[in-house]
Amino acid sequence: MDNVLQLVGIGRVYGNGIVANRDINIEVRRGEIHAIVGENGAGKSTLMEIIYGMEKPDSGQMFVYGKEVNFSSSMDAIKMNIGMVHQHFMLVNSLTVGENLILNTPKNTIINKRKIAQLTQELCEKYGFNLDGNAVVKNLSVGNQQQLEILKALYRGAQILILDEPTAVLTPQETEKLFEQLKNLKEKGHTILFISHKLNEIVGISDRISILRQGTIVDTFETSTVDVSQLSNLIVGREFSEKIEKPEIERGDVVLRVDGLSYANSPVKKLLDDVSFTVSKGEIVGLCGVEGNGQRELIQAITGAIKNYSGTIELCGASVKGISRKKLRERGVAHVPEDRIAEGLSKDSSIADNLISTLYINGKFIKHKFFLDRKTIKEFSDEQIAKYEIKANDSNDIVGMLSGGNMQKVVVAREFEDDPVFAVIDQPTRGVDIGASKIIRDKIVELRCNGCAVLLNSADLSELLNISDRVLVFYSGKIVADFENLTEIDEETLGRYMLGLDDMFRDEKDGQE
Amino acid sequence: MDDFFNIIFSNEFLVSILRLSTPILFAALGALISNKAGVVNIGLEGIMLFAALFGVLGCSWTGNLFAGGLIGVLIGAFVSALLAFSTLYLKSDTILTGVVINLVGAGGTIFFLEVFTGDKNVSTSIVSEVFPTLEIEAIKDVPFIGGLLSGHNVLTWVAIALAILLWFVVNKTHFGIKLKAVGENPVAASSLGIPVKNYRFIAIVLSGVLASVGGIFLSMGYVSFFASNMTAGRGFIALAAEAMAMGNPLFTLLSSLLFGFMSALAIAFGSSGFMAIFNEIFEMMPYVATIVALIVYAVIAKQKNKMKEVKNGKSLGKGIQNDVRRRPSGIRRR
Repeated sequence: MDNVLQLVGIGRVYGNGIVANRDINIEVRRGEIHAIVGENGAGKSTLMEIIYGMEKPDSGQMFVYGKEVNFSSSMDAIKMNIGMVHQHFMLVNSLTVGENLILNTPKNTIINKRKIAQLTQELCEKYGFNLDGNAVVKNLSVGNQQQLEILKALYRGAQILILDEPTAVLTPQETEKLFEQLKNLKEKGHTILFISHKLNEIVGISDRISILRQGTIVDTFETSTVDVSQLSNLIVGREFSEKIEKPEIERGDVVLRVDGLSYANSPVKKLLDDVSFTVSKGEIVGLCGVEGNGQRELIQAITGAIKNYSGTIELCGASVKGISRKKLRERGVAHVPEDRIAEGLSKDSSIADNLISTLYINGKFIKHKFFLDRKTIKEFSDEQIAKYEIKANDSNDIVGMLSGGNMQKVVVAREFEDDPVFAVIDQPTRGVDIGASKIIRDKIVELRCNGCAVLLNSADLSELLNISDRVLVFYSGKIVADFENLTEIDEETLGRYMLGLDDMFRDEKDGQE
Repeated sequence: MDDFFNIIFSNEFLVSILRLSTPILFAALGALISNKAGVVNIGLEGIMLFAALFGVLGCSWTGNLFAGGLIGVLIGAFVSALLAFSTLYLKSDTILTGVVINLVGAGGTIFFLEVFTGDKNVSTSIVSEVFPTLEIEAIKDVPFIGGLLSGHNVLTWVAIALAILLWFVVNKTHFGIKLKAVGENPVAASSLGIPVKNYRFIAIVLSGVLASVGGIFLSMGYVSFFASNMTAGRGFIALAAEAMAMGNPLFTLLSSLLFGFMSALAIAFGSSGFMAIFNEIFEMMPYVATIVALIVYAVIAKQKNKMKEVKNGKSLGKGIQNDVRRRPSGIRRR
């Protein structure tokens, strides 16, 4: 009997009638890395919250070390040696690493800084981490904050560690380091429950995989028996191909022309340094680079969030400098922002209201010159919901209740529906499951085939290579590579440019200086 | 004009600064402790008024200074417990409930004053005692030093001691960091099993207790009677003093002294007759200082944030491994 954790018939129905989990049966063995995969809204988070005592199941039984448990709060879970690293870290930013570590584990009333630092040191050595006990949390990198979260759980005696999408916020290097540590923990006898959307990571690190679909576990199997494409079919529940159909089309006139664009927010560092490129009709130009190398600033300059740049940005031959976002929209610019919740949507409004929030102005949804025409709005919204396969009961559903992928579909539907001349698309599929990602990518390609010029920024390199017609690589605020023929390059090559090891234009630049 | 300078360079002026700072400091420390737990206690003004009234009443009922003070503080604690219960357990809006407490404080104290003494404005018809001042004979007349150390009310010393004690509690004890955790990231705190509501309850009641001591200082130290609306906005000035001190108890001591100084200056102008036509303008000084202080604080805070952004490597090319943050912006904001 080596199951550290066993769930039998666990179910959870939310107050609003949404069935998050139903009849879940799962066994987790001692010392394994057990991956839980499924699409957005499949019920992964609820399941983890039940195991960690944050949610109470409505039915079913849970056994930890063969003993039936009934958690009323996460404190009970911690007592049973279950620890969780949440996707949004549970850290107090103004406190130090050591203070976060010992928070609510009372030994003395008074805090002894030296002892805490020593304790941090000892724990780090024991588990092969590297953290300074006296560093203030808000100054840590995301990777280190995550390490602290894991250490926090271990310090509280966690034998079963739940990690909710731990790699979503990490750089490839940090991810690699995390995986090494997880394997190390596994060897020490810890059991790890691992949630992720990144299938190659799952195949790489897990021992077993459980697939969650529509609130229930449909299958559990040894990782060695599947590959990535089989896994994606299993997750979606049907034959599924990530391949994007992309017809060859003629490139049209130049729509966006960026010339000599430079921008600095402090006198020392140039965030954009003499950037020039064009985007033409019927062309998808991909932006690629390690985050913080100027892509964000470029997009902000184009969409009008940054105004004090030098150089020119022209849309269809006319400068866009200093014009309002409303004017930009009137000139046919669509923008899918990176942060869909903060910038792309009104979370507390309905799907319908979000869909028309930029479109109502053209009069289509207005009757008697003054009032919103609810009937037309509803027809339009239902049409969009069907077209973009947004999973919702009704166009009056509140956007905030949707899963991440469906929220993104709402943004995309709204932005693409107004026949844009030029679309800026920033991280369209970040945190979005494979099914929804496919739909969004297809729509981007469709947009381009209809003659729109598209600027695509994505951290997902395979996405970039698959749907772009051209890829620009940014490093240190400059374009260091411009690939026209994407069939000849792979992710490794891109990586070398992204890290600044190669530069296509280096000779040219040296020549100028 | 000479009168004016005689006044502000006297030991009495120093003493008056500390005297005027004391109630603000107590209330500001109260604001601090509830802010640490993530609750803005805007009801300090009303709580101070209740404590000031019932301190005097209690003293006349019991004939004992400390029993009176205790009654005042207990009533203040009770009022803040009501605030805490209403906002934490009945989920009423904290700011609105605080405003209600201020309004009830302003009207209710006059009502109770009339019920118990028959007066509507001041409680001079009943006998109440005052907390003693500590004169140090040896140095009393030494310029500056005398004013700094001698002639202060015991409660002034208590307030200063409390500022230091609170600094220690907030930064150096488990209770302190738990309080900060509850205020800064309640979800994280509760995920570690810290009972967020209980901590907030304790913090609001403690904040009420501190403000109450400030209240009884007004009616049982500063003067020896209760007068209607005698707090005169000190509960709000305290909030400003706390904000300006950025949540640091020791800085709160300094910012409270700044407000005390402005009030003392206004009084000095008034009593010296110097530029007497501007008297009303001078009386505005503590309040104007509040606004100026808050603007300065906001500007500094903004500047600091900017500096931090630059420093934290929103700039580019800086160690790809170390400092690249891939968190989509805004996750924290939710």
